[in-house]
Amino acid sequence: MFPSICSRESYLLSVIALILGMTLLSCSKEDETPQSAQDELSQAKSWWASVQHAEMVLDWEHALEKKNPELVVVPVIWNSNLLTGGLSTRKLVILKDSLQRREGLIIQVIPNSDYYKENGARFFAGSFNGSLIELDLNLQYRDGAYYVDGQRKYPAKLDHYPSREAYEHSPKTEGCTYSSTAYYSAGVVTVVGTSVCSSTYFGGGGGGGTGKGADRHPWEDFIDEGDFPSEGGSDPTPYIPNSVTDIKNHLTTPCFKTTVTDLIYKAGAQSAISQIIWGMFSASDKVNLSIYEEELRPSEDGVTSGGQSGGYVNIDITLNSTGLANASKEYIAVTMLHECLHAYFNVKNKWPLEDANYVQHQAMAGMYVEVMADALQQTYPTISRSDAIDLAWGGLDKSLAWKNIVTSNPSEANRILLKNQAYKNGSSGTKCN
Amino acid sequence: MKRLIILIMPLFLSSHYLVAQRVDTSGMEYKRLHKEVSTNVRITMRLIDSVCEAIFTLVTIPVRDGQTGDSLTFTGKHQPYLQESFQRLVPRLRSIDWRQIFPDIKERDYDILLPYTYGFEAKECFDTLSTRAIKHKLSYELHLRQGSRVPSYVLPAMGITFWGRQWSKTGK
Repeated sequence: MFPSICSRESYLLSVIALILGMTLLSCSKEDETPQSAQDELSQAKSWWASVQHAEMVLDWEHALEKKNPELVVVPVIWNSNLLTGGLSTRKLVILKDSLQRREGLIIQVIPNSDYYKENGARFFAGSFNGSLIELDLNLQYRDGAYYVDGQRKYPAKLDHYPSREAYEHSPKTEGCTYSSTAYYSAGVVTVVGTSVCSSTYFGGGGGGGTGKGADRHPWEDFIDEGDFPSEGGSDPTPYIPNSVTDIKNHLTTPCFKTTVTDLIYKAGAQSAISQIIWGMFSASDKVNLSIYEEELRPSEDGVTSGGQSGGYVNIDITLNSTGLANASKEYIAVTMLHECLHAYFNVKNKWPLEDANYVQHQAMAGMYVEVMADALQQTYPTISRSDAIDLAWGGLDKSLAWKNIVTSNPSEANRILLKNQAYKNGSSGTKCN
Repeated sequence: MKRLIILIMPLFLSSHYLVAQRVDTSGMEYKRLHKEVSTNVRITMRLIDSVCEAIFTLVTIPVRDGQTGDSLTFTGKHQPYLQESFQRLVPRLRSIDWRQIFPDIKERDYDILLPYTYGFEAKECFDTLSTRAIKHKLSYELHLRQGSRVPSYVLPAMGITFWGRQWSKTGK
C-alpha cells in the first residue's frame, strides 16, 4: 500500500507542481502565451477575412497581440514616401471588447521630418511629432490629429489631392494657419493638412486638453511596440516624385483663377476630367501643362497649343482674357474643360494629325458631352443638367453630331446656342464680378 | 558611375578660351538645367501668330566671382519675348552648380554659353533649323567671341519646336 500511497501523493504533487509551474510561467510572460496569441491571431485573421475592407497586404508574421486592452496590431505593407523625405506607415489595429466583439481601424503614422530622422516612421507615444490618422477599413478618414511631443495638439484633416500644388491652391479658411505633409503612394499624392485655428486647438500639454481630440486612444501606447520590420515592408529609399508641380497655373484674372481652382485644384474636384488631367500630367515628368490667359482672336474662348523641347512635351492652355471678360464662371469652366480634353487627346495620341481640331471635336461630341456636363455640375451644383449639357456643346459646332442636331432639331440647336451666349455674356450663370 | 559624354572641340579651336571641354550631360545637374530650360521657355499665342521664323541665338550666362549673374545676353535678332522668358529663369539658373556640368572649370569668372533655337511646326507656319544650320550659326557666333576676357563653356544646344495654334474652342 505504502508505495502506492507514495505514488499517488507523488502524482498529486507533480500535478500541483505542474499547475503552479504553468501559472508562474504564464505570469512571467504577463498576459501573453504563445498558444493564446496564436489563437487570437488566427481569430483576428478569420475576422479580417469576414469583414469588408479595402485591398491591402498585411504582414501577419509581424503582428503583435496585446491584452488589456485586447488588441492585435498588424503592419500594412504599403509603400508611401513623404515628399519631404522619409516614410509613412500604416497598421491595422483590431480591438476586442468585453463581449468579444471586434472592431478594426487603420492607423497611419506620418512623422514630421525632424522626428523621422531620429525615430523613423514609428509612433512613440511620449515623443511623437507629426500626424496620426485614423482610417476605417475602407481607408476612409475617421479622425486625425497633429502631435507635438506626444500630445494631440491640433486636428489633422486628410485630403486627397492630385499634387502638392493642388493642395497649395485649394481654398483656405481665414483665421487659420495651415501646414501640410504630403506623401506619395501608387501614383497619388495625398496631403495631410493640419489646420491650426483657435477654435480647434485641443489644449495645452499634459494631455489635459479641452477638445474631444485630446483623449488618448487605447491603441496609442501599443501600435509600435512590437518587433515590426523597420518600415512596414516599405522601400526605405525615399522617392520624391518630380512631377507633382507639372500643372502650372499662370492665370492672373481673379475669376479665371478661382474657376480653374474650383475645377481642377479644389479638394473635391474628383470629376472624370479632373482625374484624367491630373493622372496624365502628374504621372509623367515629361509632360507639362501650363494655363495662361491673353487676348486671343475675338471668336476664340480658349486655345490649346504646345511644343516639344528636349524630350519634354509642353501643353499650354490659353484662355481669352478679353473674350471671356464678362463670362460666367460656368462658361469659363466649360471652356477649360474643353481645352483640357484637347490637351488630353494630344498627349494620349502623341502629336496629332493635320485635322486634329476636327478629329478631337468629333470625339468630344461623341463621347465627352455628358462627361463635361458631369464635371460642370460637380463644380457648380446649382447649374441644371440641361444647361450643363448645353454648355458642353459649346465649340463643337463643326462636329457631325452637332450637325445632326441642327438638321434634326433646329430649335434645340438654336436654344443651345442662345444658352451658350447667355452664359458667355454673363446674363446667365454665376457672375464673376 | 559618372559618364562624361560630350567633348566639344572641333568648332572652337580658333578661340583661345574655347579649348576642349568636358560636359557631363548624364549628371543630375545637367538634367535639372535641361528640364528648367525645356519646360519654362514660352512665347505667347499672339507671337506664334505673328512670328513665323526659326531663330538661333547664343545665350550668355555670366558667372562672376562664382555667382551666376542677372543679365543674360542674346546674339542675333533682338527677341524681347525670348529674353523675358529666359530672364524669368535666372533665379533657377543661380542654383545650378556649373562645375558639376563642366568639371574642368577652375576660374571664378567665366561665361556659360547656351546655343538655343526655336522653330515652328504649325499648320500655318512651318520653319525649323537643321542641325547643320545650327552648327554653322554656332560656329559663327563663337568666332565673334574671340578675344573675350573670360573663358567660355559651351552647353549642348537646346531648343523648342512650337506646334502653334491647333485646337481652339470658339464661342458664338
